[in-house]
Amino acid sequence: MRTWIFRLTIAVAFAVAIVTPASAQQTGEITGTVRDSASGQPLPGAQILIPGSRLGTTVNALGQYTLRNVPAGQATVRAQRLGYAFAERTVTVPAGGSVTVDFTVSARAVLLNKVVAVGYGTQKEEQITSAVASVDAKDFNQAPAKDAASLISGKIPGLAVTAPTGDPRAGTEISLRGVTTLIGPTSPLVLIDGVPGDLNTVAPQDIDQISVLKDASAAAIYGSRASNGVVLITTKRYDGGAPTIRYDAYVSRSTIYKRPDFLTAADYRSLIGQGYDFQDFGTTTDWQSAVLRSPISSRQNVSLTGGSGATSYTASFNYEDTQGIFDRSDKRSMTARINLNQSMFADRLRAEFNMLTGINDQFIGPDYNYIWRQTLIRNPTDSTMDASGAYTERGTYFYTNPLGLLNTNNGTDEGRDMRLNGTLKYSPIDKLNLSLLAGTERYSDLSGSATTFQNVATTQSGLNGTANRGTGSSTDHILELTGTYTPTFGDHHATLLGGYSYQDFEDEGFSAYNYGFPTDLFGYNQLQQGSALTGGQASMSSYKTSYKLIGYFTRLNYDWQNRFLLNGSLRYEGNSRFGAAHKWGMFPAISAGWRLANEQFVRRAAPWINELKLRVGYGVTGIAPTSSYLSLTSFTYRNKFLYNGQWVQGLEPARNPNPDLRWERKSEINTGIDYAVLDSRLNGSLDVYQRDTRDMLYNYSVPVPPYLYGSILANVGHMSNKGIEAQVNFDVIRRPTASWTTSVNWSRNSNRLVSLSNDVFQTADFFYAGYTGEPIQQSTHRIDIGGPVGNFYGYKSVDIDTAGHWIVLDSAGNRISIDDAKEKDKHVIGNGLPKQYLSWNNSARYRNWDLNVNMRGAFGFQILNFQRMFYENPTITQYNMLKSAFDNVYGKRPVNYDLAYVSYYIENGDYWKVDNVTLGYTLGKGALKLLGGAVSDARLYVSGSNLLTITGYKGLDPEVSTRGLDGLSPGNDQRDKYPTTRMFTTGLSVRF
Amino acid sequence: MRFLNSRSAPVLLCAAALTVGGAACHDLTEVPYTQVTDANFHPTAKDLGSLIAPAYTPLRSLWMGWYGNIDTQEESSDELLTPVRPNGWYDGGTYIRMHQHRWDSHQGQPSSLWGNAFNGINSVNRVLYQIESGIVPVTGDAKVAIPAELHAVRAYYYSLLLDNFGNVPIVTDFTATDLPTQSTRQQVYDFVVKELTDALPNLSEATGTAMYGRMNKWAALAILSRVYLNAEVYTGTPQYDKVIATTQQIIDANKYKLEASYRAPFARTNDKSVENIWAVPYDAINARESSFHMKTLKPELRFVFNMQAQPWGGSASNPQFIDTYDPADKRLSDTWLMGPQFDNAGHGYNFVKFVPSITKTDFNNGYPVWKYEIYAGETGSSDVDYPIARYAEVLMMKAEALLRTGQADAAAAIVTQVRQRDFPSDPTKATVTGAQLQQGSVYNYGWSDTDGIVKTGPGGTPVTNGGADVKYGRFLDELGWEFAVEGHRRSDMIRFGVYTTKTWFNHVPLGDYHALFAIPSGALNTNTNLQQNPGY
Repeated sequence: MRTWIFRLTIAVAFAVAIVTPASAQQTGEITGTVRDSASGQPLPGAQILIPGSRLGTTVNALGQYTLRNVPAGQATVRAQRLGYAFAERTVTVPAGGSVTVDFTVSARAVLLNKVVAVGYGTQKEEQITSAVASVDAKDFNQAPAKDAASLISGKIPGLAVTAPTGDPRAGTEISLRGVTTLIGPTSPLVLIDGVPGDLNTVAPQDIDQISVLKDASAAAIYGSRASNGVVLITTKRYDGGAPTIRYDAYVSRSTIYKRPDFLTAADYRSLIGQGYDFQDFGTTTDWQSAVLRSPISSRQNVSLTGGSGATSYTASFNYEDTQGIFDRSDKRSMTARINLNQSMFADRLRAEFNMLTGINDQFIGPDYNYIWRQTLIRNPTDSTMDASGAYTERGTYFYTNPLGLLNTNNGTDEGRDMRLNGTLKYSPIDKLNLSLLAGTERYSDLSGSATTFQNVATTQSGLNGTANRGTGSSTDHILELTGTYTPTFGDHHATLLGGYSYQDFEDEGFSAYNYGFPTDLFGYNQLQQGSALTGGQASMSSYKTSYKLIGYFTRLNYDWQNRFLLNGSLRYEGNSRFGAAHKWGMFPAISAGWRLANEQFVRRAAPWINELKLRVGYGVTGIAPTSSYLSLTSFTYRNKFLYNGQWVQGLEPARNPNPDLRWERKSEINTGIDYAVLDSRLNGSLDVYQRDTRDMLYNYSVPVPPYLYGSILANVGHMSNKGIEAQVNFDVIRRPTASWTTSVNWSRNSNRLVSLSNDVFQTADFFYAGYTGEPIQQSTHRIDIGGPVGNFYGYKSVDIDTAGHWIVLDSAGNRISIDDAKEKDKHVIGNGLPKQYLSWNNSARYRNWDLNVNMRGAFGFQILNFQRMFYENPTITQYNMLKSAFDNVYGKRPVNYDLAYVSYYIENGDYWKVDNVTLGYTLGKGALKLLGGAVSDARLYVSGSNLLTITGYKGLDPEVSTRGLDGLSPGNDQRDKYPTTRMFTTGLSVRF
Repeated sequence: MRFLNSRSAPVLLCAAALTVGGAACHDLTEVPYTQVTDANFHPTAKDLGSLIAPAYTPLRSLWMGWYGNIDTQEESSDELLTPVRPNGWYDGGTYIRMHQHRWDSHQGQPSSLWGNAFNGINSVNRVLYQIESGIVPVTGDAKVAIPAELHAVRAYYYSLLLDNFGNVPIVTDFTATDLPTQSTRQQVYDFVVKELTDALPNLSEATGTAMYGRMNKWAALAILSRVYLNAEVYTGTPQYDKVIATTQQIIDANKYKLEASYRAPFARTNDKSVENIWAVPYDAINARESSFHMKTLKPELRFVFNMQAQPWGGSASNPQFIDTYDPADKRLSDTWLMGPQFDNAGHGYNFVKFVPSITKTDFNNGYPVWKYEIYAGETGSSDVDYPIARYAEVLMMKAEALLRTGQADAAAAIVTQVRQRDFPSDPTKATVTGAQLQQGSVYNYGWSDTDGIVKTGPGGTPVTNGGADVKYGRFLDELGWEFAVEGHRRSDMIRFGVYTTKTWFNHVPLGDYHALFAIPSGALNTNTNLQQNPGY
């Protein structure tokens, strides 16, 4: 967006070689131009040097250079630029005269010269001094993407993108550099071309670049929203040119990745023969096949670009039809986007208009998680329908025909998103640029669902049809004023940014529910017909909340000779959600870098080093709570009370007020190296960080009285994360007809809850998290002060006795029967947060063929296998179970005990996944000619996702949530989890 | 343009103002749309009901809610079991611990009682403060009656804490911000007695709709009688004469009487019962906390009773307790759901008395509780109100006090009066004598082995007459039959000396300190002034 700022900066940067003055008679000049061999464009910033001497200069914005004081006679002059192969020419320099040498250099496939969005602007990657990673569209994952995050899954060290469910309506789960908050939000701030949005706001095909501000020195300019990292999405824009149409499409087919191995009807019958207490209803049903399918999904994207002179436009339309592996789990979405640019007054004024609108239609109603449970536990000898044509029901506890659940509950949810924003950029004088961004977003959804008379709500509970309707709407406004000034004094280059940001958010909604309908014909379209309204059993609700966020910010980017880099920023931000005493806060950041590769001594000693940058940064970011009004003394009408024979609404404290409520403050120090060697064939980065979240929010249990309410939200805790991240990219083959780039990303994080108490608010040395659900009804995790988040906490089983009861270790480590175990006998029995992530991406091309292979894995963590915990117990014969229920436990005998949470069900989760393999073919010129010349580019591809997992884990998929249902129970592989899928895709991209 | 609604105005204004340095774009005041705050709420007399509501509403989850006091009092007693069922009910051993008295400070049921009681106490303190400081305008009779009522309600919460935890902090000042300090059981007893006694003259004497669900004078007298009845347990000093005096006041007032039917005080319409002195009103729509029926009924009984909800199927009778009943006593079948219970399609169970063990049962082992009326269309929330105090208890308290003060025959006359409605098939059985009341218990205390035989321990020798040595044991039995599953059993067993001394079902005595629960860990962790009860 603001590349031109830097172009200007560099334009002035006629670097002066550090040479000792010599007499004019003995020296001459070399002048000339450096251009890109492909585009013919000038290459500002390229270096000109005489190897073996200290002579050197930098090419100006017009691509020109002059190298003075060159000793007369023969000289070898070299032009080099990051990302380009260097070129050398030998010339004779006339004493007191000048010789012209023009270079054309060709680009190399390296990353370091690119321009990266860094928040309120862009920066050349080479000048970045904090931990910022960015991925361009050409390097995105090729598989059909769930959202923007899946495009960069495995591409950025430290950024773990997990796809914990196969639900087509669910997105991914992002975790950046460990767990930094206990109850604050965990999602990163996502900005689409500078405007807040989310990972689903734009279609993946419309994205040009995704940039992630990982450390606080980069993210602090976004203040209180930045602690979980900032994801900057830059959409595709084309700077005018001939009218062009691009068309992308794919079709994919999904299948369940792995089926759990439950007893079949034949198994039932054989076990009944052995005396087990199963019931045989006489039929044979494969319940999993009955509810699952292998659906076809597709996506199509058309974009139009063009323009003339000072006007350019980009418009795109995207249609996606996604189908889940459960029958009827569908989602259709459309997004349209228009971007208009106009430049006036000799480019002093630029105006931009953006419109993005989306419609998202999804099937709702059935609870697929519960349907999946019912599918698994359903008796395989039972029929799907009974003799009367109704869904077969048995009345057993929590036992419902999954097909009935699936087919008798109908609903849709339609979400509509409309975003409008515009930017005015004005440059009153050179080097000064002012910008005004104003925008609004409105998201609304309208949902409705209803059960038919065939649903158990009617057949079993007698409700005669249920129906509900709901709508919600959120609106926000944004206004941002920024000014940029880019002065240059000799070798000193600076960019000074100042700005103001205003945002407000409003969220409101309404819903209603009724039952007792005369007919189920109307679905949810005649809510008033239900009788529950008059009986007082219908329900309705409405709500509205709002908050504001105001910030003032400034940033200075400075470099000296492109060797020493210094960046500093400050944001002063206020959030209405905070207590009266702490509405405003300060978020500073500073970072510095030293580009060793630009030092003469390095150039001479190790000319094979193309880039070597040391950088260090420190910054402070914040996390704000997710709800409004938390600091206020407020009361709410909650429990009704019988007063004089009438039920009146009781007025109760809504919470304890906390006027000191403020943001969590995360300070982070990050040290890193960027490197590129051997003609940039080998390049990458290494980062080490420590992040400390202080004033961490936690809901403290407090005594009632003196407090109003049993808990209070307060800023007390301290959490620490330390880690290391590395990226190595290597161009194994670099030829005109063939290339192969391989890239390895690795990260390691360790987490510790340092403290959670102060003088005022105190807790025990631990708290519990996670939940098994019924009927086990136990916490799964415990977080100890001084320990990491994610520890599983339960009975440590070591053996089984002759009666089939667990033998567990007591608090002293002695073997005792689980019958005698108490709370104090529980142990830490694993940890669900992966310590290390590793990914290996390969991108190869041979002539017209290209091949991408992405693999990734997570290591050093455990999973609580809920399916085994619930379904590996042969005593519960009223439900179906895993075949492994009859395996001997600890080599002795099957379990003969009620369902219990013991360490036997904790497994190592380490896995290595072949995430995606894509093979593409780009049509050659000859083939395109056959198409009549209208097509200027075409590529076809086939792709497979989630192809193979190497793991010792016995469950369906070891890629489980790193948060769990309550945010602090990573590694819980819920038994009702929507199973993950394997997907095969074919697609094409065409440019007309 | 649609997008430029009223809220766009400040944005545009701000844009304009910024250029001249305005302050409108710097304002971060919150706008609460759905909250009542000090700033926007100015109560009037008509808000009184809403304001005093939180003093009472905690009673709902306290009594018949999940982990309610009905569980705490009954599961730890010799009446009720929550054994492991085919659909679960192991729940990490929580019900087994209740049965076996192996709880510690983490036990959920007592913690829930603590939380609910202090929640109510705090609400009382808040409303009293609001009234005293004039924030809530109260005029006329209400000026003394409402504070007296609130003092008495608070005393009731404290009477529960006194009974279950003994040594608890007494907090009466809403404005105090220091962490409360602990009082001794004697101090808590004195506080409860004084608060109730002081409140009595100002309490409403009205019964019926106006005071239904609220603390009137008679309710306060009933609670005071109960505290006096247990005074020896609480303080070492018996107060039976005071029990006789306070119960006599209720009797003399002639406001309440025994229902003709034992089930009437537990009917869906029991808000009309003339026997109930003070009840917690539950309502399937307005007050939905009562879920005990879900916990005791078994899943397929939904078809038998045509319920809307499918019950969860846990708690049932202890066979040893069932054995104490006279089969002619109608209270047996009025309390427990026995024998075959099926609908036309064959859904249901044949309930048997036998329960193999606390760790393994089928759904039909043990009798579910249906004392609280089960009705067609019942949801997960029962309409039946929970009687905290009923007239039968007043009579029985007086009878016990008479018995313990050497007036056995007078006591027997009252017990006989209460039993009149319970033996329609053989009315002569209603009569008991003073001599009978002085006999031991017919409860055959001992270990109920997996074969159903009561023994000295697992695999031990059979036991007969395990309760013969209980002093006034027959009176304890009478209390059991009359007040089964009403949340009285734990206190009664403690008063008769069996709670921490006898073996029943799969429970063996583990020490006298179990007569008090451990102070919950949640309370200890948040208030460093609290000391754990002895033994824990």
